Amino acid sequence: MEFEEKLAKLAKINKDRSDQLERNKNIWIQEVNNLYKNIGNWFAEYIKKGYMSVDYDNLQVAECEEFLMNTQIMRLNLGGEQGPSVIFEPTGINIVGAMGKIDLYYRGHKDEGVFLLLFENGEKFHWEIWKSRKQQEDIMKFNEETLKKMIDEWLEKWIEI
Amino acid sequence: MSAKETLEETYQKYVSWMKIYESAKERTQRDKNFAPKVIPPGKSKKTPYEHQIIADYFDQLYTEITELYILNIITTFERMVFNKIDNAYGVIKDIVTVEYNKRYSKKDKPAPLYHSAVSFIKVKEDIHNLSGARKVLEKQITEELSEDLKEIIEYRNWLSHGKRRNVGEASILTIEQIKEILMKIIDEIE
Repeated sequence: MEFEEKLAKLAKINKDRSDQLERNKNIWIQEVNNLYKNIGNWFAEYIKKGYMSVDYDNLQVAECEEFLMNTQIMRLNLGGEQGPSVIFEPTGINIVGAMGKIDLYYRGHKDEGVFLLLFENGEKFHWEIWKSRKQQEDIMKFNEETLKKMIDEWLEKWIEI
Repeated sequence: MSAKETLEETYQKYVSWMKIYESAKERTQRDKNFAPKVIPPGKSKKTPYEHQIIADYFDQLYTEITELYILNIITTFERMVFNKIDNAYGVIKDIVTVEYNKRYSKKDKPAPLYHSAVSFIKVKEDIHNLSGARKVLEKQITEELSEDLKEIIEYRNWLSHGKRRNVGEASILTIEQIKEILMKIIDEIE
């Protein structure tokens, strides 16, 4: 391979890599925002009644990849602002086997949380709930039903109502 | 102490830290006066949201303790592997020194490059990191274990280089799964 040809090939590899990264970053921000919007819609009735509220917070430096500092943590507050919360913490797109990861947990019990992983299928994207990379249980799709079930189980476990 | 016992001991320290973490968390929930003893002043101010700030603080602690011990377990494993490589070098060197230079009669010519034979063997200084060690171990461990080790190395790199893009990759392997994989590898190479 000629010297110029080598340089051209190297430049193309680096440009492709950079384009791919930019694409993944944009998809990630878009999909996280869509997810937050969907969750807001799923619980719109409870939010309207004051049974639930939503707020957002900045990510901590040590918790995520540096470029994600512009995306936010979503908090679903159960039973009002001072009630317990369910946290959605987007930590990054640089993960083995998926396009990105959100840590999903009941506030104060991160050790018993799960991971929401984003997967690409053609041009379509979907979220799955994972407990670990080598889990024995079936992998669940993330949707309104699975989220409500999960929150209900957490409330049963940690709150006396 | 065997390599597996050393790895187990490191993991058991993590278990101890998690027990300390759990009991401190539980006590702050029961006794409001306890929080300022274990949490920095800014995080334990009396406000209506105090319990939430404390919960967030403990969630961060959980992540940090776990990540530190993931790094610790991998570091321990790396040390064990390099010791094994060093021991293997000693044994291989002895075999090569004796066997390669063997001449069955005075008429036999010495083996080619027999003075340099030992320098053909890899020493631990030739293997610069765990990725290099993985290449050496590839033929000794199953393909699945080799892929798992690759994921663990990527995860270690991601954690230890500031969770940056292009430096390693995050993983959702738990610390228990990481320990189990590394134990299996030690079983294979011992």
